[in-house]
Amino acid sequence: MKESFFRTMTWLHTWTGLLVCWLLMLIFFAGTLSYYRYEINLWMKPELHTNVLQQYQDLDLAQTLVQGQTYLADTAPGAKTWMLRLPTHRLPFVGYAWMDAPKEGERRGKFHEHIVTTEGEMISDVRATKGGHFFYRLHFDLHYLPVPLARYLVGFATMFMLLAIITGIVIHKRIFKDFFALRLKKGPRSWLDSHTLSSVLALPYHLMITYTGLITLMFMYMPSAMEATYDGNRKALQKEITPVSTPAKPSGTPGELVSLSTILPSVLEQAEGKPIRDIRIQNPLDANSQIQVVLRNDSRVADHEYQLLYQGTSGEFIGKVGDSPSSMGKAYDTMIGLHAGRFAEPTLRFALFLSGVLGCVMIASGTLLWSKKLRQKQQKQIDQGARPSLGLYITESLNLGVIAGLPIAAASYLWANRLLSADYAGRYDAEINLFFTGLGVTLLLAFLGRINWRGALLTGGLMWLGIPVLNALTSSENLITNIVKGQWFIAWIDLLALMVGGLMLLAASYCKRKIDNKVGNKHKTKVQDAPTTNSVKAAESAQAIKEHV
Amino acid sequence: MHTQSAISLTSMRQKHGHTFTVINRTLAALVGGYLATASCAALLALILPMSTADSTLLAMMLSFALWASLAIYAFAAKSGTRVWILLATLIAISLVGVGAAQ
Repeated sequence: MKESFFRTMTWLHTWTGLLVCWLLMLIFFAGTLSYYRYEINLWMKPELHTNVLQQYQDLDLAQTLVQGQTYLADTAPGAKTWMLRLPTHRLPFVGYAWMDAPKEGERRGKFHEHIVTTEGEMISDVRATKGGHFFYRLHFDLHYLPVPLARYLVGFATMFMLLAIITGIVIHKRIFKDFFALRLKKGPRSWLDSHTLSSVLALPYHLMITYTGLITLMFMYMPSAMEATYDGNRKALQKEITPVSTPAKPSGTPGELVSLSTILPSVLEQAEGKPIRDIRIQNPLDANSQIQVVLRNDSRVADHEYQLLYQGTSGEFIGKVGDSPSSMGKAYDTMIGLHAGRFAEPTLRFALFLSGVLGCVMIASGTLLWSKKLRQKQQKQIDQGARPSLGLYITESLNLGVIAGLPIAAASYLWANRLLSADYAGRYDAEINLFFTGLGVTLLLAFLGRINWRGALLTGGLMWLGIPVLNALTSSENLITNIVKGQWFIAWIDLLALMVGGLMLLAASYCKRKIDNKVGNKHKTKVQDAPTTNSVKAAESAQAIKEHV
Repeated sequence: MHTQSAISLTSMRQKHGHTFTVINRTLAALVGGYLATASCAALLALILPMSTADSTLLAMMLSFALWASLAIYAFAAKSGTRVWILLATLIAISLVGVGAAQ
């Protein structure tokens, strides 16, 4: 299309990246926060901050199961499903939960959960919040949009991302050398370096997360294969990949459930040392009830549930639902597992989180680089009093509004969680609306030219730094007591907030220095008129950028 | 004067030509590329020598790599016509294959 393959790929890289970068930024941002979905969840429910965290090893299994069964029989006799949730690395507490029978037109009934304290008391009154699940859903369902439309938009953006990554690799000649090159304070050169560095450093991650992202929704994006072989019937395909026995249908006659303690020895034997994640009881008070014991699988990457099935009234062992017999089924599970990272222990989780952050930096530095170059082209006219072109105005405003707006929005969401009264009826939606208010206001101010980078970063940084303080004031625990008690799961969000806030303030102070430097530089150029080594170098690097971008 | 207007005419034509090329290639990459990928995936799901469930999953999982390659080719190829010929051939072969295999 262009004169050379290289130029074509450069062109393609710029446009695939630029067209979707702000949507991608939102997707990456939400996805990165989703690594701490359950930590955010717990942080946003301060009612659960004291005497709730437990470890599986310290649990008296038989007692917990019997207590749970009795509690659910008293509290939710009419439920479709009971669930006894035991502590895992992602949900470190005991919960007794149930699901109502679905009402007409619903796929699933309403979910309720009461939490058990370490003292054996029940907590049933927890504030309504979407918690970390908001970011998880935002990552692929966006918000305010019909779900199918949102998912197609996200898929479209992801495909562009894949193209941008591949073309990015193609146009990158010195992948190893640039690994170590970060030339700071050199104008566009620095933006290019930070773009390259964030891209190359986490390249395997970027490729993996983009491709597996497409795989997670491939049944929606690429249904043709399934149309050809199964007439589009996903259930038929699913049945061949994972032969799960059909869930028990209620018979209509009441029946008595065995005590869970009687099947416990058999469960422990069949589980072969794997910890129990939760126990689900379908149609608990029916003659045809079924007990599903779900085992933990987080020592492996593949995202696949292991279950032991028992008949509910007799306690008879029905069978195991284990690995998929299909090798491609395993490959698929592994890709989903890689994307969701459910297996990741704290250190690996943090590494994944940092890679996600690098992804955000990659997108942000890419679009900033583009707008800097556009501004450079117009600088002469702008200096002479011309107004920036419409393209430049939109790009720069969107950059500021989205890049600084997203952390501001997330901080508003967390602040809303504590400032809205715990029993205010509309709080569930109000929290989410306040997220978008934070983003919307930043965007609006950016377009109106009423806020600059320094102001926005300063605001966001202070909001994030305030989060541990807010937590200390509105929770029964604070950062220090959480750490002293070893409740890292809750303390982590405060620590993360300090890191994010600190980084934003650092960036804000960098903006200030840059403004000072610019004033200083103008003086210098007046003094040194003759071309110096510096300006020769600058010309060289400008040339290098031209070749690159 | 005469030469000047001739030059501006060519540059205008070039500009329009560029717009056309971009739209043409983008359509080829997105629409044509998707259709070709979808039909190839359907064919692969039917003919790969493994169980139906396996071949279906594999075809779906590989499809995005194929689409990405086709999209890049759509921009990199010497002429837009070549791109469309390749895409049309892929679609035709796949659909005939799917018809025969089903």
